[in-house]
Amino acid sequence: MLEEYFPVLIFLIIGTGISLLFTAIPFIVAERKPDSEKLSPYECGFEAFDTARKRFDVRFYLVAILFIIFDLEVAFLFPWAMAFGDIGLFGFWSMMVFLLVLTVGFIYEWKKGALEWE
Amino acid sequence: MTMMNEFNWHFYSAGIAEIFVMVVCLVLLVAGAFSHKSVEGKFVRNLTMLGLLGALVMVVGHIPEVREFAFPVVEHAMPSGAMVSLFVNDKFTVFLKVFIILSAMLSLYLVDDYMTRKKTRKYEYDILILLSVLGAMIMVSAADLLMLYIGLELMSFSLYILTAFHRKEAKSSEAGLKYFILGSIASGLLLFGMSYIYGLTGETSFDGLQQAFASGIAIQDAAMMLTFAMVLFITGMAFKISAAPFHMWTPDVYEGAPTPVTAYMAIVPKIAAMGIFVRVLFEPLMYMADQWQQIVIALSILSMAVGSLMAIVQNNIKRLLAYSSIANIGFMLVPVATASIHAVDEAMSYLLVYCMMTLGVFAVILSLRLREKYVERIEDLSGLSKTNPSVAAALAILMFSLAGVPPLAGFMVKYQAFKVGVEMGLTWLVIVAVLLSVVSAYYCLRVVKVMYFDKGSEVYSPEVPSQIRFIMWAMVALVVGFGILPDTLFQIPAIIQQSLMDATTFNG
Amino acid sequence: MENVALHHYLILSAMLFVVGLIGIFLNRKSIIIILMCIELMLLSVNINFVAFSAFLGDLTGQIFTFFILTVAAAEVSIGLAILTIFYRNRHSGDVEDSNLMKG
Repeated sequence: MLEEYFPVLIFLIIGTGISLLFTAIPFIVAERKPDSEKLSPYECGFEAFDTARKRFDVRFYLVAILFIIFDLEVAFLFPWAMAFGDIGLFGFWSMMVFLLVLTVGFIYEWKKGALEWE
Repeated sequence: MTMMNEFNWHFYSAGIAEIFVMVVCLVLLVAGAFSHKSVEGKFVRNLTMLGLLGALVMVVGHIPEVREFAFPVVEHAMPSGAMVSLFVNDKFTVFLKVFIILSAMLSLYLVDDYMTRKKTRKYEYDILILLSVLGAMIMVSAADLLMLYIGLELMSFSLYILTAFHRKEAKSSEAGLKYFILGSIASGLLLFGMSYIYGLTGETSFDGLQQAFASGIAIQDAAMMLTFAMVLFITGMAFKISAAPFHMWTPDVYEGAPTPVTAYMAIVPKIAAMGIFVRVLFEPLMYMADQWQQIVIALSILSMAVGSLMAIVQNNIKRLLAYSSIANIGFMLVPVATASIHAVDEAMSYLLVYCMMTLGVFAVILSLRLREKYVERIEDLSGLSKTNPSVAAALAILMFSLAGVPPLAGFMVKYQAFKVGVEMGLTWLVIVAVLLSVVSAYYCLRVVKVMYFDKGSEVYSPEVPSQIRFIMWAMVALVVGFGILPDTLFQIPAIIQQSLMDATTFNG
Repeated sequence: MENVALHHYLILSAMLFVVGLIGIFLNRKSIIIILMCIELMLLSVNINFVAFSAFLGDLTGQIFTFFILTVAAAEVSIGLAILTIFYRNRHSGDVEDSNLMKG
């Protein structure tokens, strides 16, 4: 057993070393001659019309946040659906409770206006 | 593996308080969203208090005579054929839950005045407090690594949001960000440790782990990896109790968070995290004591040293309290570091008295305003004995107790903690602790000196809400009372310890 | 061809974990990158759990993984939300700008 796990420790050390090395190399060997062409973002087929560091609307973040929370429920629904025949009423109501909790969250965000764009 | 098909109420009765708190949270979330702006704050606050009170009644009304399991959702194919459960209810958890709920209720009373003055009153505050109380309750009741993780994260997530609750203030959001990042790293380390513990033993339940370690098979085969996993796991826990060297987040978060949140954060998560830390060390990791003892000793010394020494140079009273909490965690870990289960009651009584003192100090901070701004710098306290003698006296008593001056409760618990350390043969650690407690006395007494001997002419804003005044004096009374009658103080921690001892011998 | 054994998974996840951990400490630019590193750490733990679960023939590890996934999602959304209010206050999402409090 020990032989099996020992490499993990070695790899932790090597992994640390290599990632440090690769972080360090650019500082030592990379050439830095920035010009306007290099600094401008690459856009396929046309001149860049804006900087890549442009802030974009904070509302996109909000949508992302809401999406992250609600798309994960599918990860629970799939195994539940697969095992539905075996888990009986208990399994059914467990999932209903879970969905109820999600629904409460959804009602809250709707009521709070998080889904409105303007 | 078979799934449990039947709904069996018995399994849920042990977790009734948690289920109730969760239902209250959900109801309040919807009710708050639909109720009118002008009433929602009061309405939700009253229901929150009622909910906490109900949970308290359920917890107390359900003091189990024996260790009681609940939620055996997954039935493992255990060698012994035993059911493995996620959730446990015994006297250890009941008493910790009572303290958690009581502290949460008291800290909710501290909020109103502050939030009204800062015009940031929102009903979500109460729900977040409720959710973190729920997380703390689940955490202390955990009988499985999974439940421990879920409870810990539920508590932490609510605290991240509460820290950043003043979203218009840069400090608050920065503190929230720092807390979030460092807390997430901590839970990452904790999980990585858990995954190896699971992989090497095939168990996640505390009982199963204890058996696996007791049989020694896992230890022989991969002793090094197991120690490594345990170190990661303890590191994650040390982050949550803010023991040095994993304390970096504490001062910034204490300073940046809204003061009532800081008060809450200094108490409830400490009770929960310290409780489950002790439980994990003495239940599943009981047979690994040789390995973890050194880690806990190191955590203890570092916390005492960093906390005491850094507190001296602080000018902000919230930062000072942050370092003081780090130092006190170090003192609390002295009895734990003996690796003897008979020392648990000393650690628990220290924890309880520390929470009383902290709550009192925060009540004082929240009652002092200069030109309608809350006092944060220590210099602002100068001359407080002239301008506001009663508050100065209360703060002085609390600070004397924090410094460990007899005959206050702070002295009694420190004395007991050091005594048990010497009895268990950690004399050198206790000597270090005594020396560092002298250092920590210095910063506590400095506050008293500023109040009583420095000149200040500013007049404090007069009106202090009666609730804050009540909490302040109640805590002072407790600190004095338990100092005079220490025996009553040690009764409840003794029950907690006995319960933990019963739990660890549950499976032989 | 050699079969993929348990330790291959463990090595992979250990590497991912270390990349995530070091990424947090070396990253001096964007806080968003820190969020990604945190996610990387949690997902590497998931690989560990699933690998152990398959190796031991025990489902607990996979149940654990589901919970970690969900918690990680909640974690990231809270992180993004806090980052958003930080951004609104400081007009920057840089690590260097979180410097109001020190000592």
